[in-house]
Amino acid sequence: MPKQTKRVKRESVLRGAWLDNPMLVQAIGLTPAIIATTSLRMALWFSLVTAIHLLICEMVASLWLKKWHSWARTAVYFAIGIIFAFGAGMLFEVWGGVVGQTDVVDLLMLRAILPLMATSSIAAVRCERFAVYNNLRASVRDALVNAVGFTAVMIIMGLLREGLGHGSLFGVELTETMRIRGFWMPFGGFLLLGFLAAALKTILQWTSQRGITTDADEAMEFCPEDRQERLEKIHHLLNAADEYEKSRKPDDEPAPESQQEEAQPEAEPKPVSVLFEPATSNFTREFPRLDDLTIEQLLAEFQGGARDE
Amino acid sequence: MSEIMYMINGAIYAVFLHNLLFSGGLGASEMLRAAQRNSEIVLTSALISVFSAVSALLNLGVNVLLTSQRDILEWLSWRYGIFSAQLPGMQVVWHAFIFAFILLVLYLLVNLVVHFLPASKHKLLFQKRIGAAALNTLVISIPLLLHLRANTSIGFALGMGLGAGVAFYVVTLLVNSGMHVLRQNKAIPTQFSGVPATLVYTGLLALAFTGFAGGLSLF
Repeated sequence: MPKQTKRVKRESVLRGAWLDNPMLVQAIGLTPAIIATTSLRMALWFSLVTAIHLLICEMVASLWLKKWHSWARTAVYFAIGIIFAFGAGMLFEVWGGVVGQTDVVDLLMLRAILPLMATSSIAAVRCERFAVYNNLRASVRDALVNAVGFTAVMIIMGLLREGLGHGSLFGVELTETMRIRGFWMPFGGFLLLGFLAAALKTILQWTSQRGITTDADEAMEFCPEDRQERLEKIHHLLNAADEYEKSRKPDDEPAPESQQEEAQPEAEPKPVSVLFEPATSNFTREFPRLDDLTIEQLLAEFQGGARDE
Repeated sequence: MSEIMYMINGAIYAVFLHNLLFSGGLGASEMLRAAQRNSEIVLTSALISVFSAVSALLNLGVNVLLTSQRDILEWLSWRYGIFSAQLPGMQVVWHAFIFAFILLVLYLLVNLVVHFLPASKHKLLFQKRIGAAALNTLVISIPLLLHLRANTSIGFALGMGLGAGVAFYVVTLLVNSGMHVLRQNKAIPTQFSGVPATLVYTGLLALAFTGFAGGLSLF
C-alpha cells in the first residue's frame, strides 16, 4: 500500500474519532454519556454493546437499505436495537447469575438503561448521514471510528464521574472523604461533557495551528445538521457524476494525465487538511460558510473548490 | 376525580420533579437538534406527547395483563432464557422488550397512515419529524419508568406521557433561546463557543431543575 494512502487512512481515522467525535462535536448519543457513566464498568459495557450495535446497523444500512424509505430504515435500526438490547439484557442477567451479587448495583442499572439503547441516536444518525450513501467498507470504517470516539468519551466520563463522584474505580474504594456528588448527578454529566468538548476544541485549535488538523472553530460550530445534510447530498451527487463520466470513457483511450501522474514515484505530500475524502468528513474547512448561500451557489462553490484542489 | 389528580401528578413528575431530560438526560441529543430549528419545536414536542401518552397507555395495559398472568412471563423466560428461574430480572428484560416492540408497531402504523395521505408540505414535515419524535430515549423511557415504579394508574400514565412532551418543549425552548444568546455573545472564549457552551449551559439548567426538585436524580 502506498505511504500516502496509508497516511490518508490514518488521518481519516483520527479525524473521525477526534474532529468529528460523535458526542463532543456531533452532539449525538448524549443520553448514554449522562446515565451510563456513573461507573467505569458500566461505561465500558455500554460502549461495547453500542459499538457492536453501531457496526451491525451501518453494515445493514450500507448493504440492504439504500433504496428504502427513510422512515422504514429508521424502523429497521430500531428493530435491530430492540433485538440487541434484549440479547445484551439477557446476557447480562445470565452473567449476573453466574458471578453472583458482586456487581449487583451495576446490573440493576444496566437492566434499566439497556432497553434505552434500542433508540440509540448514534446508530440512526450515522446510518442516515453516512452508511446509506457509502459502500460496506467505508461504512464499517465509519462505525469503528465513531465507536472509538464514543468509547473514548465514555471511558473518560466513567473515570472522572466514578472517581470523583463515588471515590472509587471499578467498584474499588479509593477514598472515603473525597466524594463530589455533583459529578455523579446528571447535571454533572452535562457540565463534564461541555468541559470535555472545550478541551477537545483546545487540542484541535493547537493542532490546527500546526497544520495537523483543520480549523476547530469551523468544526465545532453548533448548527451543522442542515449544512451537513446538504453537503452530503452534494458529495453524493458529485461522486455519482464522476462515476458516470468515468464509465463513459472508451477502453482504448490513452490513460489520462492523472493516472500517468499516479504511476510516477511518490508525489510531494499534500497538507493533511486536503487529504481527507470529502464523503467521510463532516465539517471540513475547505467549504465556504454556507448560511447565506443557495443550493445552486453552494454547488458552484463546491465544484470550484474541488477543481482547485 | 382521583384519576385527574393522578394525571396532574404524572405531568408534574415528568415536567418538574423529574424533568426527564435534565434528571436523566433522556432525549438530550434530539433536544439539542430540535433546539436548532425554531419552527419544529412545537411539532416535535406535540408528537412526543402523543407517542408517549399512547405508548404509556398501551404498555400499561400490557403490563397489567402480564403481571396478572405471571405464568406467561415465566414460560417465556423458561422457554428462551437460560437459568432464568434463578433470575427474576429476566422479567424486566422481557417487559422492556415488549414495550419497545409495541412502540415500534405504533411508529409503523402512524407512518403507514401518513404515507397514504395526499402529498403536501405538511406531510413531508410530519414524516421528517415522526421518526425523531417516536423513537427516542425519552418516549421509550416512559413505560419503563412506569413499570419500575410499579404504577398502575391510567391517569398517572397519561399525565406522564403528556408531560414528557411538555418537558421536551420547555427544555428545548430554554436551550433554543440560550443558544441564540450564546451565539451573539462575543465574550465567550473561543474554546467554549459552539458545542461546549451549549452543553455547559444545558448542564447549568439541569442543575437549576435538580435543585428545584430537591436534588433528585432519575437513575
